[in-house]
Amino acid sequence: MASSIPSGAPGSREKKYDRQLRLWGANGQNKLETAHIALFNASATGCEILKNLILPCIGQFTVIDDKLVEEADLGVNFFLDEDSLGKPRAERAAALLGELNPDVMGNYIIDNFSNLLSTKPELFEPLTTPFTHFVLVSPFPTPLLLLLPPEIPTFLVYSLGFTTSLRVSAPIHTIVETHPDSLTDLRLLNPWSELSSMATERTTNLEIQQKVDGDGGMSDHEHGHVPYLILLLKYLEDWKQSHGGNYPATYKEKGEFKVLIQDNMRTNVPGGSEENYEEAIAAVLKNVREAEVSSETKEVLNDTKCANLTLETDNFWIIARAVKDFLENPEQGNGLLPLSGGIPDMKAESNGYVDLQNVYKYKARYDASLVEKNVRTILSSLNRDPSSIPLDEIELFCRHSNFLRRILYRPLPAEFSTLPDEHHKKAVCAALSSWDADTSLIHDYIALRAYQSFVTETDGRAPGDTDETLEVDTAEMTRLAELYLKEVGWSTGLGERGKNMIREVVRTGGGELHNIASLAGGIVAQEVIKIITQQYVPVNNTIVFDGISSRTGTYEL
Amino acid sequence: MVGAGGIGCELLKNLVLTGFGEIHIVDLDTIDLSNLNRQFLFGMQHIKKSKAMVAKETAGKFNPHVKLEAHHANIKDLNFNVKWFKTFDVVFNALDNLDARRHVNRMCLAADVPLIESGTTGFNGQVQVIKQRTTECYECTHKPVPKSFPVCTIRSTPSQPIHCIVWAKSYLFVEIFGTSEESSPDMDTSEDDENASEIANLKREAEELKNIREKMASPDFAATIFNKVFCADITRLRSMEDMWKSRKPPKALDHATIVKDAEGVGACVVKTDQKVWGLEENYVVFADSLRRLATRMVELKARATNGEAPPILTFDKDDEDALDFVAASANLRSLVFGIDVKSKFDIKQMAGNIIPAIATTNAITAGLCVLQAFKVLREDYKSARMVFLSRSADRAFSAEKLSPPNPGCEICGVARTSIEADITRATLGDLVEKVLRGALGYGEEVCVLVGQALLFDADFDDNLETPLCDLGFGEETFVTVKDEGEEEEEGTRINLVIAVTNTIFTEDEAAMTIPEPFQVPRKLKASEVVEVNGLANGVKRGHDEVMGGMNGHVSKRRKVDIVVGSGEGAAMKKEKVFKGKGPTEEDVILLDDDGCITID
Repeated sequence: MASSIPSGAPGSREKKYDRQLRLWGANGQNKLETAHIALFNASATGCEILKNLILPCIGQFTVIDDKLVEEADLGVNFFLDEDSLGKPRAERAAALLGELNPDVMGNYIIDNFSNLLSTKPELFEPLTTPFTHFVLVSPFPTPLLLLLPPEIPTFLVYSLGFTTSLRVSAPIHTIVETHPDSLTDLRLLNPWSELSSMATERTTNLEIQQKVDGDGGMSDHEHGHVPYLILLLKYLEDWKQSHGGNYPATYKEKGEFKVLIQDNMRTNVPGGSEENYEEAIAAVLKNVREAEVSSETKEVLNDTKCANLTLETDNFWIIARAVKDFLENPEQGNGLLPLSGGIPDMKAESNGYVDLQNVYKYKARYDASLVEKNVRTILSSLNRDPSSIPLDEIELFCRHSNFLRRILYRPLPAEFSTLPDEHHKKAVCAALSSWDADTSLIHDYIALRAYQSFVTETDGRAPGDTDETLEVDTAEMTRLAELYLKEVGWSTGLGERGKNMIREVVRTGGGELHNIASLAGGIVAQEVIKIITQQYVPVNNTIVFDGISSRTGTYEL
Repeated sequence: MVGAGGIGCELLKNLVLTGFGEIHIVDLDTIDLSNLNRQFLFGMQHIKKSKAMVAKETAGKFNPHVKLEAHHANIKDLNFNVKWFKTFDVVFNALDNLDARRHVNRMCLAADVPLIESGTTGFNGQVQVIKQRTTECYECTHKPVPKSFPVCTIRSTPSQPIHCIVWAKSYLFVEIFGTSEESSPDMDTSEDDENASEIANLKREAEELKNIREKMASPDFAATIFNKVFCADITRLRSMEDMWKSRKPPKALDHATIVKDAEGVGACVVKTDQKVWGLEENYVVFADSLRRLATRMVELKARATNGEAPPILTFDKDDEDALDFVAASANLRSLVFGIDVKSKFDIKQMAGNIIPAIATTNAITAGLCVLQAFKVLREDYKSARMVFLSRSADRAFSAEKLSPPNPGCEICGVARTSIEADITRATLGDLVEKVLRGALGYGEEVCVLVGQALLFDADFDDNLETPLCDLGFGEETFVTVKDEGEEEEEGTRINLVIAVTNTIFTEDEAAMTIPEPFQVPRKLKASEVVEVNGLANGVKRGHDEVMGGMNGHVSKRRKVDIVVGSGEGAAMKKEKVFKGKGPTEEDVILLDDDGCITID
C-alpha cells in the first residue's frame, strides 16, 4: 500500500494565486513571476498600477522617483501614509507597496529618469538592464521618451483629473493563448474520411420508422438523439447530391437547406418537434461554411520571421513555420490548419456523443503529430536539439492555430517626434472626421498631446498649477494643441470640444484624483499583465479613458 | 457597502479617499488565503478573521475623518430591515452571490434608496445603477441560474466529467460522510414513468452504501467502498441490458488488480494538482483521502456526546481531504464510463463553483461604482450609466444608458406600502378586510401570498381567523397582494407589496395600523407582450429561489400542494399553508420548467 502524507494540500502559493491561475494558468504565472517592473514616478496612479501587479505576484519591482512625500500626496495616494511626510517618495512607496505581498521583491532608486539616462545608462540597455518592463507616469519631456529602448515593453501613462490614457509600445508581440470565446472548428464542409463514414453509418436508417424492436428502423428515441453534427453532415451530403455537387453557399441556399432539415424532422413525437433537429437548424448559418484561415493567423504565417529561422528564433516562430508547412503540404493539411478538436455540447445519447468527440479528438491529435514531426525536422536543420520544444507546447499551438496573434507595436518616435509619421497623421485625422467626432475621445488625446508639449517646454511644470498662471497656461496649451493639429495636417483647428478638453486639463493643474488613479491603475495593469503573460489580446496601442462620461476609446496612433 | 471582498476592498479605499462621511461595511465572510491575490486590505496575519472588521481597521487609518462601521453579519439578518436601509444615501452591492444580491435589491426598492450593483468574473465585470421607478431593478431581467442534472444522468448514465464530479460530491461524499437524506440542488430527483424503476434501484444502492458507513473504522473500509461503487453497483448497472443498447456500457474496476498495479505510486502524487492522474494514481488518492476523512470522522464521533446529532462532514472546496476524495472518485467513475478524466485543479473549479478573480478588474469596477455614485448623489440618473467590462482589445469597457423599469417585473413593477401589526393578535382577516378591502378598495377576487406560500384567495379562506404569527410572519414580512378580479374597465391592479413590521400595541389599541388610502395603479390593458414578459420572470424566479441553495443556503426540497391558478399567476408555484403549520414542515415537489435531458 502506498505511503501516505498528512494532507494533500498543494503549495500555499498555488492556493493564494488560485483565482488568477484559472485565468492564465501556470504558464502565465511563471512569466509574471519572472517580470521586473520599473515604475518611473510614484504618483497615485503609478502606485495603483504597481499594486495591481504586486498582488498577482510579479517577480520584482523598482520605484524610481526623486521627490519627497508632501501633504498633497496623502490625499490621493493610498500607499503613502502620514509617517511618510518629508521622506523620499520612492523609498516610502516601495516599502508600503511591498507590504502587500511578501512574495514580491521591492526596490527603489531615489533619482529621476533624465539623470539616470546619463549616470546609469546600463539600466536602459537591453542587454544589461535588470528591468523587463517600464511603466512611466507622465510628466516626462518628449526628448526623453524618444531615448527609450524599443526592445523593452513600455507603458506610458497620463492621469490628469478625470482624463487618463495609456500608450503601449513593445517589440513584436506574439500570442498563442488568445482565449477566444470558442476554439470549435467543425469542418462540416471539409469532413475527413472518418467523420464522413461515421455520418453515413449513423444515418443509414434515419428515414425508417421503427415498428417493432429490431426491424432495422429507428425508434423515435434514437431519431431524436442523433447528434446534430451528424444530421448536418448527412443532409449536406443529400443537398450536394441534388445540387450538382455544391454545398449551400448563399444566405438563400442556407435558408432552403434549413427547410430541408425541417422537413425531415419527426413531428409526430411528444412536443411535436425534435431538439436535435432544432439544434441542427440553429447551427446552419454559423457553421455551414468552408474552414478558412483567419486573417490574423495568415499575418503570422506570412511574417518574414516564419521564413527566416535562425538558431535564436523563438519557439513561437518555429512552430508557426511547422504549421505553415503542414498547411501547404498536400499530404498533411492540404490547405487546412491543424484541427482544434473540441465540439460543442448537444442533444445526444452519451455514447453517440463520446464517439463523435473521439473522432474530432483523434484527428486533432493526428494533425498535431504531423506538426510535431515538422517541428523536429526544422529544429534538426537549425542544429538545435530536436526535442527542445515539448509536445504540449506544440499541441497548445495547434489548438489555437486559427486564433494566433502578432502585434507590431508602433515605436514611440513615430508618434512623438516633431514630425510624426504618415500613419499617425492619418489616424488622428480619421478620428477627428469620423461620424462620432463630436463625442470622440480623440479630443482628450489632443489635450494630452498639448500637455506633453507644455511639460517639455517648462521642464515638467504642469499647466494651471497655480491660479496666477491659469489664463496664460490655457492660452499656451491652446497654441500647442493648434500647433500639433497643424503638424498632423488637420486644418480646421481646435473645435469646441477640443477647447473644453484643454480647459479641463489645465483645471487639474497636473493633479490626480484618487478614484480615477485607481481606475486607471486597473486598466493599465490589465494591459501590462496581458503583455507579460503573452495571453489574451492587449490593446494596440492607445487607450483613452474619460472619467466624466465613463467611456474608453482605443486608437492605433 | 455590502460585501468586503474583491470589489469591496477597492471600493472602500476609493470611498475613504474620496471623502465620504460615513460608511457601513457588512460582510459575514472571513478571510481566506485565496483572497490575498486581490483583497489588498488583508494580509497573511488576518486569515480567518472577519472581512468587515479587518477592512474597517486597515482602511480607517487612511482617513481619520471618515466614520466607519463594520458589521460581521449576514445582510439577510433581521436587524438590517427596511428602516435600517432607509438611513443610507446610497448602497453599494459588492457581493458574490445571486441570493444576497436579490435580497439587497428588494430591500433598496422597499426603502427607496439608490443601489449601485456590481460584480466581476475574471476580466469581465458589470456596474448597474438601480433606483426605484426610475431604472431597471436587478430582477427586471432574467439572471442565469446554476444548472441541475437529472438524477439518472448522475447516478446511471453519466457522459461528461461534470456528471461524475456531481456524483462524487453530491452523492458519494454525502452518503458516506454527510446526512444522506439531504438532497442536493445539483440533482433533480423528480420521478416520471420512464425512470421510476431505476430510481427505486438507486435508492436501494444508497441504502446499502449507508450500511457500509458503519464500518468506517475498519482497515478495509476503502476496499469495501471501492468494491461497492466501482464494482458491484457498476455490474448491476451493466446487467440492465436495455440501458446499454445505444450507449457504451460501463466497465467495472477490479480492486485486487488496481491495488497491485498501484504499488509503486506514492500518495504524494496528490500534490500534482494540475496534472491529469492515471487509474492507479487516482486509486491511491482515493484510498488515501478516504482514510484521512474516515480518521477525522471517527475522531469526531469519539468526541460527540450522547444525544447530539451524529457528526457529519460537508463538502468544502478548500478542505483538501474532501477535494482529493471528490477528485479521485470522480475520475475513477469517469474511467468506468470511458469519460475524460480531469486534473484536481479543474475539478476544484467545477465542484466548488469557483469564479476566477483578479485585482485589475476589481479596481476598474470599483472605480466605476464611485463615478456612478457621484451621479446618483446628484440625482442625475440621465447621465448615470450601466457599464460592462470585457477583456476585448477594442475597449476596456462599454457604457450604456440606464433602462427604464420593466413594467412586467414582479419585484419592482409593484406598488408598495407598509403597515405595523401586532402579529400575535392581528389576523389575516384583519389584513384582508381592513387593509385590502377597506382602505385600498380591493374586491372579492384577491390573492395574498408570502413568498411562494399562498395564504388566501377566493377559494381558500381557511386562514382568515389565524393570527399572523401562526402564518409564518416574523419581525418584518413582505406580503404580496394580487388582484385577481375580473377584467374591469380600468384593468386589474398591479401587484402590491406590503411590508408588515411587528410592533407591540396595548390591549386597547387596534392590532394593526391602516395605511393612508391610495390608488394602487392598474395594469395597462393592451400590454399582452408585457404580461408574457412578466410571466416568464415569475417562472424563472420561482425556479431560482429553489436553486438558491447552490450558494450554501437552505435548499431542502419539501412537498407541497401545487396550485396552478389561472391568468397571471398561472406559472407561479404556490404553496398552501395551513394554520398552525409553518411552511418548513411541508414537503415540496419540484415543478421543473423542463424535464428533458440534454447534454450540457
